[in-house]
Amino acid sequence: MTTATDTATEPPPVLRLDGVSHTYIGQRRRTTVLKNIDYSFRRGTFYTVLGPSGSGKTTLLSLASGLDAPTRGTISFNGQDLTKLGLGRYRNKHAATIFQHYNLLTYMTALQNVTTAMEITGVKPGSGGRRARALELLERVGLDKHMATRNVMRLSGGQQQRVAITRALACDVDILFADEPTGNLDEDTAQGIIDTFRELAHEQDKCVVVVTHSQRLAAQSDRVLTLRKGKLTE
Amino acid sequence: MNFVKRAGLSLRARKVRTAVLLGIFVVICTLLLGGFLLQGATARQEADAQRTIGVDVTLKGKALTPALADRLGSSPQVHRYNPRLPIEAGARGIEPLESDVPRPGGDRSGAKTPRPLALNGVRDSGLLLPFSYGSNKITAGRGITPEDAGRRVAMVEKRLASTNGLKVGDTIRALSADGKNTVPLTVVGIYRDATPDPTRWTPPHLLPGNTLYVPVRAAQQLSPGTADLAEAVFRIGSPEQAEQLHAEARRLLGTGPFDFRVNDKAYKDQVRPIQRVGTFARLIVQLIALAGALILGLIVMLQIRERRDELGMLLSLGEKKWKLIGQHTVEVAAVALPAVALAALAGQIAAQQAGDALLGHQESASSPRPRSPDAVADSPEMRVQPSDLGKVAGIGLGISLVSTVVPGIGILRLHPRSILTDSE
Repeated sequence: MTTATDTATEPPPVLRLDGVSHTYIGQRRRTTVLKNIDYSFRRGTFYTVLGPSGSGKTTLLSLASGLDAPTRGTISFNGQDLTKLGLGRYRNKHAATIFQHYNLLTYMTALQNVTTAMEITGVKPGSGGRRARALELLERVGLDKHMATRNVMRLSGGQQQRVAITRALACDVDILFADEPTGNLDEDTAQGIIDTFRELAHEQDKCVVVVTHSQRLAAQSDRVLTLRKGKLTE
Repeated sequence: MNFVKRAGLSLRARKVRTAVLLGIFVVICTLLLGGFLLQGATARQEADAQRTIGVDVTLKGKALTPALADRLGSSPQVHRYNPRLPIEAGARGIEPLESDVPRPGGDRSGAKTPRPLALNGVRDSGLLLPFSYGSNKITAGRGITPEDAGRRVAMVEKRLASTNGLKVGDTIRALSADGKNTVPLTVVGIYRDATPDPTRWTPPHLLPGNTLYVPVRAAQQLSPGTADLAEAVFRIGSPEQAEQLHAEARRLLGTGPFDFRVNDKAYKDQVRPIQRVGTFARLIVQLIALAGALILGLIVMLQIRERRDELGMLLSLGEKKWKLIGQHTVEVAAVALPAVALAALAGQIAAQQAGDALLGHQESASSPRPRSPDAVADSPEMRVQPSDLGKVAGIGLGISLVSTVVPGIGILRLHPRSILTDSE
């Protein structure tokens, strides 16, 4: 059985995968990475997905975050099929992703990267404005104003990763996806990020899904899922 | 409008790339503007040439009268026209020229010829072949012009003027063939006919020195009855208009025979090279627009491919696709517009030099025969018109749009994951 069972006492799912399969079509062969996955992700929960390299973790994350569409099955957000909601709208209003390779806008400063994401996703400026909010979030991941106003290409790998995390946090979405978010961070900063994820899930009622190889990170999550040979188990 | 802000940040951060793009745009816009200016200049020069050189149509026919010539002359395709009404007349108060050679037989020597002067009633002496070809030249005063219609004026040959001590402003008297009518004519011009005096005896009215040019009305007053025109010359803009004039002549002259000759040699010699330069300029414009779109399209396409990560990232945030294309279009357009301004300066200089080289050369190389003074075409003038700049800006922006939209669509139809995965 590949399905992780829903518990009756748990809150209703914010994101549901029904019979999701995904196949990559190469020049010579077709590779099915995910096989008939059914799973429900809930608010207020911090999930980690473990699995060996090539097991399809990143693919699962891409489909769940609306970056791609599954070849079979449906994914629904709050009961609405993503294809009907629109993948672009889903990404814009409800889901944010922290990429393994950061994917920062290289011609901008750290601060501009964060405020640009806030503008695109329509985050309300708040009392202090988007800039103040972005600076506050960057400060929380250890990037002061001096760092925040430097071009991202002049920051170290770890600092860039923190900018990528801040950018996702700033978008104020329902579900946060992260692909190896602590890979380049020192222990203290990594722990700070994990604490932030827990806080987002438990205090702000967000759903946080992190793909990782880190057992330490998994140990601090609410639910650990394992992806192996295309099947997701809890 | 955050995509406009992003475009500004991107341009500022990529200064070298922006400068290179600006340079390429300036070159393309300069060549485009140069092409447009050259086209404009050739069109103006062609119009000038049509007006000054034109095509001369000579019409002869028994039914051709001065009134019919005037009606044909008022056709829209006719720029100038000149009917010629030849008559013979006597002279009072002046001595007509006599042949230096004695008359064969000699028994009537001493008897005066009653009509020793050959008068030509004309409207516009500049259209007479000897004057337009340069064998006759005005040495004092002026020729007969359309403004002289109704005036009693004359242009006399230098030999007659010298013999009688005539100068511009003097009055001579011409006597009608029947001797009943005398018309005073004020000399407004003296011309020199290069034809030498005949070496054989020639009647006075056939001597070149006894030929006078007067307005048609004055000639009619001296001719008994209704005189027919020898011919009428109509100057039209192009050989293509000759057919329309022929149809009009056929309508006015009825079914009777008439001779309709089109002399378009001068036109072909002068105008065709200008038209060729115009065609060349149009081809240049089309070629540059196409080449420019291709070059810039390739450059921008390469840039967009380099920026796949950025596109994927922005799409992952849910940014609208039209805004992503809009950002890239704004980036290219922001370079294109200053380039148009720079090209306005550079294009003027380039086009002037090209115009001088192409049109100036064509004009000097294609003058097989002397032309009348009014047929001298001005050197080409290149003027940057707002419409030229508008066209260049339009093409520049069109290139910006095509060069960003076409490669952009190829990438943006993908899911963000494909874009981000491919670039890893």
